[in-house]
Order: sequence, then structure tokens, then C-alpha cells
Amino acid sequence: MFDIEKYKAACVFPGEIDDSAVKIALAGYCAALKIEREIVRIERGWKLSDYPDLQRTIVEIARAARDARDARDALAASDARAARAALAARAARAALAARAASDALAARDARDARDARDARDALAASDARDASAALHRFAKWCIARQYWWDWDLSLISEINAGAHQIKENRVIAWSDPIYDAFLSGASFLFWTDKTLYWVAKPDIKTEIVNGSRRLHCEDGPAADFDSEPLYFWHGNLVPKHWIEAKNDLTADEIFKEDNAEIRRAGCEIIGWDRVLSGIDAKIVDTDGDPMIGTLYRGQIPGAVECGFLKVLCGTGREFVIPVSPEINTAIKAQAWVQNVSFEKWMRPEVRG
Amino acid sequence: MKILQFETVAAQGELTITKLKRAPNNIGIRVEPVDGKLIVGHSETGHHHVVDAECATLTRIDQFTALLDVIKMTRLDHLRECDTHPSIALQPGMYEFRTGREFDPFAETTRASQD
Repeated sequence: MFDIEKYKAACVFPGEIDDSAVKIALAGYCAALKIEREIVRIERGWKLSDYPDLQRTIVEIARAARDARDARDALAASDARAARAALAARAARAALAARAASDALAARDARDARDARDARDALAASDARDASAALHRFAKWCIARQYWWDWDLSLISEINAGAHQIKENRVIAWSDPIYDAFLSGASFLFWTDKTLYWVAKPDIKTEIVNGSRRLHCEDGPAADFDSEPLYFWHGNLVPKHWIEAKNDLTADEIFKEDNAEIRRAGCEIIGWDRVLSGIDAKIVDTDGDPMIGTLYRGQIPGAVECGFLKVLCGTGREFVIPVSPEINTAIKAQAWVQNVSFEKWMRPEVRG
Repeated sequence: MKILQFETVAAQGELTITKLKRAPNNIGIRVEPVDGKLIVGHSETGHHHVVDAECATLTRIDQFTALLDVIKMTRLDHLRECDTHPSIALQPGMYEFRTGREFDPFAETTRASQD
């Protein structure tokens, strides 16, 4: 029977992980779905070769997961999810680590295009070791992608709360074991046609910003899943070595990153002064308004010399934006960034 | 919630918003709403800049420029829980939205800013 207090306690990650209780609960889940699966935990430090069924499935991606999903009564689940008790559970979860864990995997999912390339690399690589590494990276992505949101047990447990309130027995039958598995330490599931893999709740590191939790850890993973530790800098997913080997992180590597938020995160990790001094950047012009900024000139190894506009944005954070080499003042850099001629450029009255 | 007001030019993150005195003739491609929102500024991490689709229509001219025809007073919101850019009020009228660009010193080209 769903108990909101037990659920709230279970949303504080990682909590106690009871392997055998999870295994029993997930076996009950499979029985409720009238399917058979071996229940296997994905252990920290795992290798694909340790999980042959997973390895096979990664190659024939997610066909079995679709079958398992069909076994759920989607409409009844939807009704239960909207019930008041489910909403109460969701509100409780929002304030706790379970929500941050979901955010971590959602961010992981957002980087799918890059990680999906690993699958192609795996198939194309002529070197066996390279192929194995790429396939493993792709497997980590596949597992994380299943998490959000279909097999996130904290979310499915919300359905259990609603199902009990509206006495939806079909949904209770399969969601009770899921709720038990969540209370016993399971975080999310990954299906194959022979095995139901589960991943334990991770240790979560967050900071509180404006009353909300934001994933952040300066010296380790912020969402330490056994399946894949994920590293966050003030809410931005960054590569592992940017945190674990930050002393080796260089400005040129940071500037190879396409995404400005992640580039900014990298610059903050090593410090703006180190970034600009790392490329021997010199101040060209400083505007009195920090939102117009300071223009530097420097050259990243392997790239052409250009300008770097260091500017304060409306959220109070500093960014460095590379600008065209011919720009010689901060205010002209602002016009260039907005793709208008300096003569037509107008200073914004407000900056949101 | 703080909502910023402006007369002619405002900025929200990488977007610059300019209120136009005259509506351009039919140019651009109409942008369809997503979940009731018009995505004025796209973010690969999902932190879009959006406007309520019931209050405006959006046409995109190129990757950097779009026109927003505001029929009913609304606001430009940034979909992010933390480090959120404050919302900006949009009175009825025609607006030009410009997405910022940056120089790629490796490829020696320009590209749209991403967040």
C-alpha cells in the first residue's frame, strides 16, 4: 500500500540499497505483467562483456523494451498519474534528490546526437579496442535514455499512489511491485527480452538555487549512477575529465565545445583568468557597462587569432563569446554578435 | 515574478528583441507552436525562449532572424528552472528577434549562439 512518508524517505538518494528485496519486487513486477525475465543489477564498474544479454540487446536496440511497455495499460496508468495522491507524491519528489536524479538523466539524454555517434563509431572502427569502447559508451547512453521517463521508478511510483486512490486494480497489480522496488533502492530499469536490469539509486550532489535543487559537484560526479557517473557544473552536464582532471583541462579544449553554456562551465571550472591567460589574450577595449563587456584578443592553439568578448548576462553570469578578428571595441563586438551594423545597433533598454 | 518592460530594444540571453514601426510584407516561413508555445529562441538543452501561441504568430526569416506578430499582450519566457532569464513583456505589435552569433576560430566561420 502506498505510503507518502515512506515514498518521501525513498526519494532521498541513495538511501539503503537492499539487493534481494529489489530482486523480489521486480520478479513480482514481471509476474504482474505475465512475462519472464532474469533480474540483474548493473554493478558499478560494469563492462558490456559482463552482461552478454545486454551486449546483444545494445546491438539490437530496445526491441524488447517496446514489448514490455505494451504490457502496461497506458490509459489506466494515465488516469492514475493524474489522481490527487499521485500529484502529492510528485510534489514531494520534486523537493528531493529523486527529482535531481531525473534531471541528470534528462540532461544526459539531451546529448543524444553526440553519443549516438558512438554507435556508428563502434560499427566503423577497425580497431577492436576502439569498437568496444564506443559500444560501451553507446550502451551507457541507451541505458540512460530508457530512464527518462518510462522506467524511472520514482515516477512510476507516483502512478502507484494514484492507482490506490482511485482503486484502479489493474494498475495497482503492476505498480505495487515497482513501488516496493523503489523503496528497496532501485532507481531505474533497462529491459531486454531475457533480462530486466536495474540500477541502484545514485548518490546525488546538488546546490540550492532560488529554492530549487541544481546538480553540481566540483570534485566528483553529481549524479553517481552505477551505470554511469554523470558530472555537472552548476546544472550543466560536462565531460568527466573536466571535473576529475581539471588541472589538465586547457582553454583550447573548452573552446572546441559548441555549446556556450557548457563552454562557460568549462571556463568557470578552470577560471576565466586562466582561460584568457592560457591563450595569452590581451585586453583591447573595456566598456564601462559590464553588460557591454571587455574585449580581449587571443589565439587558441590550432585556431586563428580572434576577439573574445567577456560580458555579463541578464542572469548575472559571465560569458566569453568569440568574435570576428576585425572587431576592435567591446561595443562593436556587441553589434557584431547581434549581426547588425554598428551604426544601426541600439543598446538594449532591458536585459532579461 | 519580475517582468521587464521596454519600448524599442530588449535582450534576453542570446536574443535581441526590436519593436518594429512597420510590419514587413509577407516574408519568412510560419513557425508552428509546440505544446502551445512558439519557440522564438531554440536551445539544444531544452531551455527555449517561448511565447504563448494564442497571443502571437511567428515567422522565421533565416537561422538568425524571426518576426513575431503579437496580437494580444503576452511575454517572452525562458524555460529554465535555474539561472532563468527574467521574462519580458510584449505589447501588441510586430517584433524582430535576432539570435546572437559567435565566431568559430577553428572553422573561421560564424555560427548561431547556443545555450
